[in-house]
Amino acid sequence: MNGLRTYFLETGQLSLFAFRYFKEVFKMPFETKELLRQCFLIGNKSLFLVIVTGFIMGLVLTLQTRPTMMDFGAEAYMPSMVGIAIIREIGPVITALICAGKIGSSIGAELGSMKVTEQIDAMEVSGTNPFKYLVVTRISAATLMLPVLVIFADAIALLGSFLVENVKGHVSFQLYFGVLFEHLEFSDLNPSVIKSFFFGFVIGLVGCYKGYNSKKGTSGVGLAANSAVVMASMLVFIVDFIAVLISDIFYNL
Amino acid sequence: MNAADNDQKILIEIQNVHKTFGTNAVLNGFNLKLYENENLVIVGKSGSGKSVLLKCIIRLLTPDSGNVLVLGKNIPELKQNELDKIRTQVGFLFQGSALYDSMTVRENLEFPLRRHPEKLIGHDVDTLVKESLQSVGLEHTIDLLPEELSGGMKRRVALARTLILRPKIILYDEPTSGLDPITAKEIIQLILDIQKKYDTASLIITHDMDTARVISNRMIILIEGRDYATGTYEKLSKSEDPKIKAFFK
Amino acid sequence: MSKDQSYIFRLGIFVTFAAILLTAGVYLIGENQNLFGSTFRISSIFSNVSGLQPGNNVRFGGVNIGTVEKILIVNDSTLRVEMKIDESVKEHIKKDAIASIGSDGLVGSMVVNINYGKGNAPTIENGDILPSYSRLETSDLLNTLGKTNENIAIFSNDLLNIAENINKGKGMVSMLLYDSLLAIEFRQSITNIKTTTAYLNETGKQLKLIADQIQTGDGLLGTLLKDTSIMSRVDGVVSRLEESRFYDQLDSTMQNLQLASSKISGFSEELNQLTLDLNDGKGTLGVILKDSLLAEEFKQTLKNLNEGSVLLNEDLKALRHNFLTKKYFKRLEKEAKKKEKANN
Repeated sequence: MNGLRTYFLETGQLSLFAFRYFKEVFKMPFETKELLRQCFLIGNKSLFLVIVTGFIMGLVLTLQTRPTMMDFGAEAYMPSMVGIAIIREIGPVITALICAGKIGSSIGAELGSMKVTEQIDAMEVSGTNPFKYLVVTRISAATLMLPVLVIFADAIALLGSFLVENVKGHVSFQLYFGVLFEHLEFSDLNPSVIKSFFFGFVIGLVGCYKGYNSKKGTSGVGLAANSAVVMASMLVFIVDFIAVLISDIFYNL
Repeated sequence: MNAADNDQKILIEIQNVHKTFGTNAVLNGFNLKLYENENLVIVGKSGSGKSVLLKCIIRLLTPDSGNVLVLGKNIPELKQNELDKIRTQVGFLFQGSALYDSMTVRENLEFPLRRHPEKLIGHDVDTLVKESLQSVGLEHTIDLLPEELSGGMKRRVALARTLILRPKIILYDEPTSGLDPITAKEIIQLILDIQKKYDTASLIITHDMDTARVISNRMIILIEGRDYATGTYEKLSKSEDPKIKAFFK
Repeated sequence: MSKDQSYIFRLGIFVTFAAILLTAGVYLIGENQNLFGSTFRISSIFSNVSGLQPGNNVRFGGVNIGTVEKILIVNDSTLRVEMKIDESVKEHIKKDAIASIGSDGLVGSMVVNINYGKGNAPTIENGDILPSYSRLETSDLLNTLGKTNENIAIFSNDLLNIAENINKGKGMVSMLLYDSLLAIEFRQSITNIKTTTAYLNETGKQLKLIADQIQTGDGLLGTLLKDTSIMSRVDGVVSRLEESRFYDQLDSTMQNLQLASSKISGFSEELNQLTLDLNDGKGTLGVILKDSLLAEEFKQTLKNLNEGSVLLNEDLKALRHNFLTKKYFKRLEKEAKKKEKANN
């Protein structure tokens, strides 16, 4: 009963937080410089991690599915099968989870420590809007950068998959990507790009929410970072599920 | 004191403020008046609600009831943009300095200034930043990060950041806490210098009676959420009330 | 560049690269769905689309030239398939081109195949409706072919029996020497048989050649698949069938044919022997002369043989018109004509 109460309370607060974001995001003045800085921190600084995991995912997925496809004598379908899996699901979700870990925790910890050391209060009392400066920029940056990271992850994962196909099945670059793009449709790409925006938004939102409302003391910071990761990862899957349902309506998958 | 009331302009007036956290009544009918060019020190035990009081003045917290008049405006009733205007006229020096640790000293000082261009009054940002740092004697730290500064230097930079908006009132939350006695003295001296230079009124909360003695024109003793006693340091130190006496041991 | 701007610069590089990747991806996908090139629309009417879906490929001679845009149910037995075709192939598709529905590999999705028309019809235009063929199972075609070959085998077996009978009843033939009508009939028969055997010999060779070519997998079958209008029906279906099964059936057919021709050649050898014997005029001719019953029987046999050879001729003619071999015979004729021309 108490758990349920906490859950509803948290959901309500998070919704209010999101509502406040939408209220402030279009309000002048814009913190453009900070937004760009956050884009840089979230985008460029996560790129290496995303590329490494993306590459390995492509590699592993291809290695794992290849024997089964060979049993069916359907090796020719490897590029399209793995490609569609990567574009539709693996790329966005793995990237989102990696970013939930990296971005979510760093935002949670940063804002948490700013809260604890009264930096957020300091901004507030100097007559500036810390929500706009800290939260809006971070959520916006995460929302904008995650799709970009997903594109990189997709590309690298496909490259990894191609390498396996090339080594094991002697599939040429042209053939691999020819077959892949023959089978790819916009109904594969569009929903995954769109849902990446939502993944980014959820990660930024939860990170900021947890950090911004972190409890006093250094343990509060740790807790903020930790719960930001847990909650963001969970929400990524929920958003993913909803996104699949919605794209099913639009594209009749 | 009544004569003084009539002569001087009241900058802050707190009337019968209550603030409760759960079942714990931190402020229970507190009253206060801060006059122009005055150093008012509020002393009280840790956890007696001094910080809560300070935060109510600037609406980091909202009192449950009572009026908080700052520069003639009742803070709890202000709209956000009116509040922001008042806030630029009230400086706040945090206990832990609260420097933005992802920014250099220069960026820390620029931060409020860039968001209130009306405060520039013809000067450019750079001049004001340097001038402000000069007045706390730390021009050489301009490109350092907060983590590279000592505790005392941080406190001074924080003061410079507060000063850059030229506030009429500065609220100090435990300005000497966590500092060694020598640095604490330097900070106290700095506060006095600044007050002279910029003509500000100061509201200082502390539990350190030495600080209170050096700095205060007037003192308020905060006990059980009320303004238990008001008066100069000398007057209060001679009080026979055991509760007041406990502070001067 | 100041330190301030260096991160913005790097962010710019980062976003630009992503934009390039995305644009490339979008372009490549879009190119496949003919979203960016200029296109035109044609449609075709089917009674059954076999699970064809919007977005499936349209092929012309095996090349992807467009996609299925819409499938409309016109009434209970008519489905209208609308296709979006790349503008650049417009000039190659004629109005009499034929659309059929096939499948792309064993487990692949369905495709619409557009096959070349026969004649020199004008070029197709936007909004045209192409004639369509409903699919025909390859197994049916192979069954027909197999039956034909079986008939030939049975028939040649019969011929062999007849020849053996003649061989056994050698003396009877001398009767011919006295019976002029019979002799004439017999001579005619022999000529018939001779032409037939020549024919069969040739056919046997040709069939062997066909079989060889089919086994090597190029040439004839390929040509057939591409060219004949009848084959257009089979086109999609054949590709779906497992190769080995197809070849097995063809193989057995060919074996039947070979068996038939070898039997026929054995038969003609025996006939040769018979004629030699007759020429020599030796043996038990006297016996035959006296046995009128035997002569009567022989007469009947010859009649049968005559009828048989006519049937065989017909059968061979049918073989000539058979879809698989027709083209080949045509080509032979052409080559023969060419040779004639060259000789002239």
